[in-house]
Amino acid sequence: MNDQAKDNAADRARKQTKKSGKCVNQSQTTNCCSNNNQELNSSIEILVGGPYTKNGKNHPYGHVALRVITEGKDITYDYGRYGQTWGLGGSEGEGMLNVWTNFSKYIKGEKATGRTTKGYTFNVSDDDAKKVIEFFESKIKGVEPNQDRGYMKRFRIKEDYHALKSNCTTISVDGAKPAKPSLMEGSEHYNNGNGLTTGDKLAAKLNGWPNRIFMPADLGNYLSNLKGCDTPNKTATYNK
Amino acid sequence: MSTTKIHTLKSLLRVASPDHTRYYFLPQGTTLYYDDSLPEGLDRFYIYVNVEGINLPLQEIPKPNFIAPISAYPIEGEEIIDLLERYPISKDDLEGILKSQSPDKEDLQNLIHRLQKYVNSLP
Repeated sequence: MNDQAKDNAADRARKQTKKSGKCVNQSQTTNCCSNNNQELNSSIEILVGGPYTKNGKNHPYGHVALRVITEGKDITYDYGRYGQTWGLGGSEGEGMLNVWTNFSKYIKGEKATGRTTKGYTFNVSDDDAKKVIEFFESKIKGVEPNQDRGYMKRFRIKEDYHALKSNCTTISVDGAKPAKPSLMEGSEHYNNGNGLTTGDKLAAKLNGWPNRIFMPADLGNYLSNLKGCDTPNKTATYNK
Repeated sequence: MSTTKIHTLKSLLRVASPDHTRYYFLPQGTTLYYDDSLPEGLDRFYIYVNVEGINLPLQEIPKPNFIAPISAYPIEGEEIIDLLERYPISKDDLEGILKSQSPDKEDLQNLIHRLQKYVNSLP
């Protein structure tokens, strides 16, 4: 069997496994949970922040960030409307990427809202973790931080924030994919707009419903239901 | 009846210039009017400013619902020392800042250590 054929067989086996939740077609050449014999010494953690109530008002949308732990580094990438906003309900804005090098400080801010954040950790190789960091570094290449708090630098990236097309969920997923290319395969059934009000859903439909998960709660539901080789290696709950 | 909620600052609030190169302070006692919270985890407020004796020229907003906020965040840990060295803040301001802090143990130890050094350096 040549390399391409091996890849295709492994891919088919992995898809079957994801669907059934059972590891199938295990052999020396096509192990569905294969890591190509790489040691998984690093990890990525998808942090899904839930809704919260503050000042008597519900904030149902949620928030997503991506944490990478590798070779002495612990970096959390957190994207959102931290600058100018515009559009209906402030649904668009300057794309601001916060790069946190102190996870405690990041999660302290999330906890301060009163929300619960769930972390879904996947073990990855050092090389794959590096790819995630490279993904985000490409976003801030040549950009000076417009805020530097020591443990957090904020960058205005080229893309603008858009609630449906380019938000905290989509950028976190895109950032995780270099390390977990198959992560979102089969996720389309979870793209239900959980966290949106009826009015929001209508507006999103009129705007063109995205063909990928864009809401944090949908991502959380999807990750919670992963089966087989794609199940997170660890989950964590962060709250007060 | 209005349901607007307000917060009156109990201590100085540090705000960054729009380009984030300098910091300024909103004084204790300033009233902030709650506007909204974003799912990213930040709260947005507006303040009213009575401008007297200056004619500020106006322009149309560039996009519908355009908001250009400035950012405010707490003065943390050892930054208090820098603040003492660089700004003429009063004892009450300092007390207000310390009361508004929730530093962790490490921050607090560093702060006490540096405060001691700062006090020793005073004439």
